[in-house]
Amino acid sequence: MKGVIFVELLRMAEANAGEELVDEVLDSLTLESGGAYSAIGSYSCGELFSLVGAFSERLDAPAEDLQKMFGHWMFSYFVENYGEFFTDKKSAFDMLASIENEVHVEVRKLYPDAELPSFETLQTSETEMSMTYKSARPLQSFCHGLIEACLSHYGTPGVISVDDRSDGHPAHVVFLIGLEKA
Amino acid sequence: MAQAGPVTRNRYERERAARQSAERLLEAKSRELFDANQRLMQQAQALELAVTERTREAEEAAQARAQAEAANDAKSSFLASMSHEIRTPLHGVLGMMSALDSTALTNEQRDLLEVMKEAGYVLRTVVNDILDLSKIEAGQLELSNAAFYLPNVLKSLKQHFGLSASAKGLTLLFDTDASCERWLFGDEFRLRQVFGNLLSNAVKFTAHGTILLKARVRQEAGGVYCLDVLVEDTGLGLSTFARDGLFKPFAQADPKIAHRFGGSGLGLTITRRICHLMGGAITLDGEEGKGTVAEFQVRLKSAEPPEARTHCADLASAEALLEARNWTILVVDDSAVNRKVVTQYLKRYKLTVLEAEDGVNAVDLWRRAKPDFILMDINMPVMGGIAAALRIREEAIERAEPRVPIVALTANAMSHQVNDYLDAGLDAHIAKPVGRAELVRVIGSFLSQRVSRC
Repeated sequence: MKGVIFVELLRMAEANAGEELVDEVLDSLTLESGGAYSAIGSYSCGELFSLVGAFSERLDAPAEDLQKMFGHWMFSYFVENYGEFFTDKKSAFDMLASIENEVHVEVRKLYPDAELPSFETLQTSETEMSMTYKSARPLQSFCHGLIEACLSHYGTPGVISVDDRSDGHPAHVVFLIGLEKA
Repeated sequence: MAQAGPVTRNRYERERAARQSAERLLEAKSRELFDANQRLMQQAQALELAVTERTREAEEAAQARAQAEAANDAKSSFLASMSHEIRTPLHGVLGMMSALDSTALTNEQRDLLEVMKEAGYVLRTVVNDILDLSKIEAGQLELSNAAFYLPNVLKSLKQHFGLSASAKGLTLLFDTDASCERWLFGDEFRLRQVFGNLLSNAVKFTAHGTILLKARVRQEAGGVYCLDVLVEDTGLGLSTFARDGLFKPFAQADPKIAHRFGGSGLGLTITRRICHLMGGAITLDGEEGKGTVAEFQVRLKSAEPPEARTHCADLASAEALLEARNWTILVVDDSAVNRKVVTQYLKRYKLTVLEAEDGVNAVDLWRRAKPDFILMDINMPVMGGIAAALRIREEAIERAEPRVPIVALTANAMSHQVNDYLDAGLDAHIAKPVGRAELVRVIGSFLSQRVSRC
């Protein structure tokens, strides 16, 4: 798992729950990295789930909600730091459709060994798209949050229904996205 | 060292900002590195492709060249073998015509025979040219070396071309001086070919006016003599088109020329090659309609005038020698036509002519008849000419018998082959087709030695 995820997760936690809580959580866990993350490093995926679990417990919030919230956070981070990806994408569907073939290509330039999930999109009409998420990690709620943030970024609200076909592990989820007709 | 206190908020923010800056920097550098690597890989691929392409092109070019060379070799060897095959029967035809000439003929028959002979000589020239070209292309055109007297060469050229020039109403002038009066050592036949080619072109392509041949010999370092020759005419001259193709085989100045003047278009190719082989060069110059100037140089060694045989240089003395005694001449050839040609040539003299169709018969006849002169073909079934000559020489030494002159008579002989003949004990070589005069002169020159020894 890439370090930027950990760095941003802790930043989000700090922004929402304060530095003290974050320090408490990091002190309470036995982490291989010692809780010191660099955006350009790579860390065990288990640490992410430990952190999310611990935050969920402290804040008494479901882990799925935190993942979804983190999805929103990361989307903002991408808009802020990788604005070039957004300039030629006219709609939320354009953006979602480009993840597999454009965004991941750029990610691989930086991290040739990154284990990237797959995002297969199929636009069935002007307002409907299905996105099939397959990953070795159960981060479907994080994805859900990213899609919501994307729709909101383009000012095109819609309904996202989740069809989870994972049957445990690995993750296999189909998101059906229906935009509200203008 | 001071004890480290608690980290201040500012200090913490500075450190964090520094780390983020380092991370961004590293990310940018990583991306640049990736892009640079991509470009390198693309360049490597492009190079690889270019190398593959070039290798393929080079291989194709080599293959095409090999094919072209093979085709050219095949053409040369086809021409050589065809020419050889044509020359042998042509020898028979020309010989028989010559024999026919010495029989009683009506005027009309003689006129017809003249036309036939003329056509036959033209055909022989073309066939010889093709054979020469084949040798040139195979790198096998070799020069023989013998002493010759340059004024004799010039004299006979003037006689020969003077006739054809005056027949067209042209003036043929020879400008030579004392420098030309010397014996030289080289290939007289090939030198005559160079002269002959330039003079016959000059006569052929000049309608009226003068043909001038200027020759000078000058001494160079190392005992080498350079013969400088200029042949100038007032004929057609050279068009730009003509100049480009002059020395290319089968190329005539203008396709129309072939129709108007005939010829194989090989003459200048052969001439130039001979000049090169003789350490010289040839150039042609002249504008269209303003005549042609041909210049060539060849380099030859000086030769001492030979003492013997000189009295046989002319046909009359040779004929007198042949008439002097009832000589026995042995003619060895597997071709009945060729034997017939020689016997026809010799019929007019009081000679005993014996015939053998292979080496075994030749040796047998030599043992029994002890001929005064043997004319020996080289390629024959059962026993070839070289083996027969060797046998005769060995037996003669064992029996202490006098050495009989043996002269090889064969078509298509290369210089190195001639050397083999001489090593085998043959005394000289005559190339087929041979004319009566040449044959008589050669036989005469050898018989004169027998006379002087007797």
